[in-house]
Amino acid sequence: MTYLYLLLEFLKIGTFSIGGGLATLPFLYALASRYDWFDQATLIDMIAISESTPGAIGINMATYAGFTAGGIGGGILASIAMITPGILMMMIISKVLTEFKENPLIIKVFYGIRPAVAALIAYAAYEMLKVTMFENHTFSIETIHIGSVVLFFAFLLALFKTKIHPVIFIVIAAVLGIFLPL
Amino acid sequence: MKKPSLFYMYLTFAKVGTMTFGGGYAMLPILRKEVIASKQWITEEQMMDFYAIAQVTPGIIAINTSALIGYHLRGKAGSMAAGYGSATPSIVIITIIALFLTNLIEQPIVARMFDAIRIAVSALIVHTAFNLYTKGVKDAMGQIIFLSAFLLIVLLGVSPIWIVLASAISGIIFYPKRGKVK
Repeated sequence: MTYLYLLLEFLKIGTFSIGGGLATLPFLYALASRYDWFDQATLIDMIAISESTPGAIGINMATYAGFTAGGIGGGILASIAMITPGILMMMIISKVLTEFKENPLIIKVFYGIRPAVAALIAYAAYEMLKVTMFENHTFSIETIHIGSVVLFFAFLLALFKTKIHPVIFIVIAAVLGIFLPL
Repeated sequence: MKKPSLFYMYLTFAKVGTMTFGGGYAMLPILRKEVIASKQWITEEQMMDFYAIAQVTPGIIAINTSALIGYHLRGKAGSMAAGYGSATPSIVIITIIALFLTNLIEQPIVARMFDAIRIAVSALIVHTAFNLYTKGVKDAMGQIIFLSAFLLIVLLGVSPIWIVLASAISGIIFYPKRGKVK
């Protein structure tokens, strides 16, 4: 029975959460109060683990929550249930878009959307920098973290000047993090 | 372009999923490298369009973006190969962590590692934001949309969903009547 409930609940989350990983949080909080699968304290651990492991936060959360509720099978089931509605919807949208690719309205829509996407990524960069460069996430001269700033600009320079694969930077950073107190 | 096999697509997106630390935005630097620079499956503009669609539709942004790219390459089967491919690493990694390593993230050495990885990811995202700006902002109207979108999120905390929808409407209204956009 747990599997059936997991399937239905996560299909529901996949169908109604718009806006990425953390948009699934309110749904998971609701699950914590309706089922005895996990409690709110476990949920906080889940967020920490989901954010610090590879993969999109939303699926990581689904796997973890499903695992706590129903073991390995539960984790797999919850993850697949969570992403399938989105994948089906993308098939429909893609089909429509392919048919209307040359439609002036679609061209106009994407003309407006592309600068906004650049802004969304710039915002993600801004948020990341706030967390990584400043103590307590506040902008000021006193809270700036010199080691992080130096490392950041070294990475950025290398990114603009070379064609090194992004994952190399992640590996170098991980090694530096272990051996150097930043 | 020769169409890739479904299995190769599955593996490629699984690789992207393994190398993504953070939400949907953290996936873009890796996607650019794997799917645009080295394999040339899509263009940078297409990636921005797909990312925008994924923002405003239900589900996980990273998975939906993958499914849209997958459809573009191989239709429905392609969107499944790409979508489930990019979810696979999450499911495997989180299951292993939930089985054996729940205490892992509390170790100081692991925390330091992830602090350093975040700095690398910040640099990757700043670099991506810069590239997307160059690709997505072609004229003064683009600059206005970029700047207003950025300020609306940073200063007023407007949800990305509204940003994408408002920019789509701006595109319809302000698309240049004469001459063409590059």
